[in-house]
Amino acid sequence: MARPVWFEKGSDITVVADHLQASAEAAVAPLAFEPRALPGSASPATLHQAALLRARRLLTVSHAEQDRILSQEVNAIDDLVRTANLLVERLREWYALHAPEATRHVTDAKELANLVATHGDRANVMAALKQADVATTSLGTDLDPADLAVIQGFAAALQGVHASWAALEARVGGLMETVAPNVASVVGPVIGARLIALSGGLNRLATWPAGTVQLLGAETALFRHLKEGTKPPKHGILFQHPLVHLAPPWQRGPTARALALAAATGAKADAFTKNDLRAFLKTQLDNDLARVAKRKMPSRDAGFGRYPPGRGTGPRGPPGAAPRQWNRGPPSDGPRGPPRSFDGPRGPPRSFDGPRGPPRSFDGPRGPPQDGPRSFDGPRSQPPRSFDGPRGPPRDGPAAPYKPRGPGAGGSGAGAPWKRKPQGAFRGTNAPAKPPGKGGA
Amino acid sequence: MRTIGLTGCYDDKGFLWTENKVPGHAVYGEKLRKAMGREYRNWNPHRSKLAALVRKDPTTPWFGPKDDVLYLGAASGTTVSHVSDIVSGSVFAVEFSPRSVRDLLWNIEPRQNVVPILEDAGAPERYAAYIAQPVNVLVQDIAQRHQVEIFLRNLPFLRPGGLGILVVKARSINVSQPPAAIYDEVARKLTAAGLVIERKVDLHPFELDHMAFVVRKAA
Repeated sequence: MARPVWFEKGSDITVVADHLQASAEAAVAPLAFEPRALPGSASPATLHQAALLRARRLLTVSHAEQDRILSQEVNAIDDLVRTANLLVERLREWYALHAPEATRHVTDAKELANLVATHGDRANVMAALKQADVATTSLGTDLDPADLAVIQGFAAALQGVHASWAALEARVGGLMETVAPNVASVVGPVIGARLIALSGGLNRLATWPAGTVQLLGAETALFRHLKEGTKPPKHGILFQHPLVHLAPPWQRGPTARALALAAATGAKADAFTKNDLRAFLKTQLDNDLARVAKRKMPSRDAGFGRYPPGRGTGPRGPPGAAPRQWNRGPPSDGPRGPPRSFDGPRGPPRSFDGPRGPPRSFDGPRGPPQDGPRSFDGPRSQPPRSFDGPRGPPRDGPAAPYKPRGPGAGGSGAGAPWKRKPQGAFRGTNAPAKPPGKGGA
Repeated sequence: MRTIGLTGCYDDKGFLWTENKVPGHAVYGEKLRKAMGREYRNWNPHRSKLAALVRKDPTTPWFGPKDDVLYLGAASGTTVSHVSDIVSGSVFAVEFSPRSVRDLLWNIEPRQNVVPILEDAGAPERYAAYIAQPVNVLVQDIAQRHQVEIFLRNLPFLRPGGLGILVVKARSINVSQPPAAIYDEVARKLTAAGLVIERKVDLHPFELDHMAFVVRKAA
C-alpha cells in the first residue's frame, strides 16, 4: 500500500514534517512511486517550510553526534602541533638576538616559551637557568623594553598553544573512552580519533574491513599504486603508532596489518555491540605481533623493496612460480599495454662476489714482438694502399680466426660469462677479422 | 542582456546570467546586475556543471519555464539557486552530506520553490513522500562510484518524455580506466534502461573528465 504524500497530511508544517520523517524511516526499497494529482489547496510553500523544518531537525541531530566533535578536536590537535612548531621556530630565532646562550641551552620548546613569557629579559632568564654569570658576557644585544614586551607576548601565545594542545589531548582521551574505548585501547586515543575523523564517523569506520583501516590516510599512495603501478602502501595514519614506525622496515607492513585488524574489530564492537573487547584485542594483537617479530630481514635477492636499492619488488613465492601480478584487474578490463617490467621476472642476479676472469693486463705484449725499432722513414714492406687504385686480389677462404690479444684474455671460457669477450659473431660475418699485431705497418 | 534560446538563461558581454528570484540577494558571492528593470545573477560555468553544459552546447534540451525539477547532489545549493531562478515549479534538492545541507538551508531559505531533502539519493524511497507528481526534469551531479545506478533508481520520479541530465565524473567511477571507456559503459547502461541519449557533452575545459549526458525518457 502506498504511503501518503505530503499534502495528504494537511497544511500544518509540523505535522507534514513529522510525516516526511516517518515515511523516510518506514521506507522499503525499492522505490514504488505512485503519482498523485496535486489538489489546488496544496501550497508549495507548505512543502518548502516542512522540508526546511525536517532538514533542520536532522542537522541538529547530526551536529550532536559525538564522533563529529571528536573529529574536530583531533583535527584541532593537528593544527595546534603545526602552529606550535611554527611559533617556536620564530621564538627561537627572535629571542636568540637577545640571549643566544639561553636558546642554545634550552632545547625544549615548552620550557623556552615558559622562560621567556615569565622572565622576559636575559638577566632574569639566565638567572632562572642558574647561569647568571653568562648574562654579563652574552653575545646578544640589549632589547628595547617595547621589543621585549612583544616577544614576551609572543611566548605567552606559544604557551597558550601548548596548554590548549594538552587540554585537547586530555579531552580526546576522555571522549574516546566513551565513544570508542576498544579502538582507543588498541591504537591509543589520538590515533583512534584520527581514524574516526578520516573515515567520517565511527559507524563508517566500523563497516570497513581491516585492510581499509590499515591504509586510511594513505589514499594518495594507494591511488598512485592503482593508477601507475607503484608499490602499494603498507600503512596510512597507523604509521604514527610507535609499534609501526619503530619496527624495522620489513615488519612494518605486517605490524600495521595486525593493528588495523584489532582496531577494525574494536570499532565494530564500539559502534554496535558496545562490548568490552579490550582484553581479547590485546591478546590477539600480542599474538600477531609475536609472529611478526619472527620475520627476518629478507636477503638481498628475495625481492624486498629496498634491497638492492632502486629495484622494484621481484617475483615472490617458490622458485618457478609466476610472478605476482599486482595491478592486473579482471580480464574484462580490456586490452592493456605490454607488461610492466617491474612486475616481470628478473634476469640472473648480478653477483659481485663470484669468480672473476683472470685480470686483464695492459702491460703485456700486444702481439708478436717487433724486430727492431719501427721506423717511419724506412722502406715500407708493402706498397702504399691507394683508395683509387685497384684492390688487392680477393681473399679466398674463411676469415682469419679471432685470436686473443693479450695473454689469458678469454679463450678457454674461464671467468663469469659476462666477462668473456664476445667472439666471432660480434664482429659481424662480413667484416674480416683483423689479424693481430700488424699495427700500422 | 539577451536571451540565448534556453529558458531563463541570458547572455551579456559573454557572461551567463539568470534572472534573480530574490532581488538584492546573492547566494554565493556572485555578481548581480540590473538590466531592463530586472536583476540578474552571474552564472559561472567554472563553478556549475549545468552552466558549463549551457556554455558547451547552447542548443541542449533544457528546462521549461514551469517545470518541476528533481536535483540530486545539491551540495550547498549554488547550482540549485540558478535552477530555482530558471523554473517556477518545485526544485527538489537532494543532498546527503549534513555539512553541505547546513549551507544549503541558508542559501535556499528565501527561495520558496526549493525543497531541501537531507537524504541519500541512492535510496529514493526515503523521499518519495516529498514528491506528489512526476517531475519534468531529473538532474544529477554526484561524484560517486555508483552515480549511474543512482540516476537509474530515481528514474521512476521522471515523467514519461521527461528530460534527464546526468553529469558523469569518470574519475569517480574508476581512476584507472580511460574516461572514454567509462562513458561508453555509461551510455550502454542508460540505453539499456530505455533512455534515449540526445546529447553527450564533454565539459572540458570547465571540468576535467566530466561528461554531461542529456537523455530523454520514453514517452
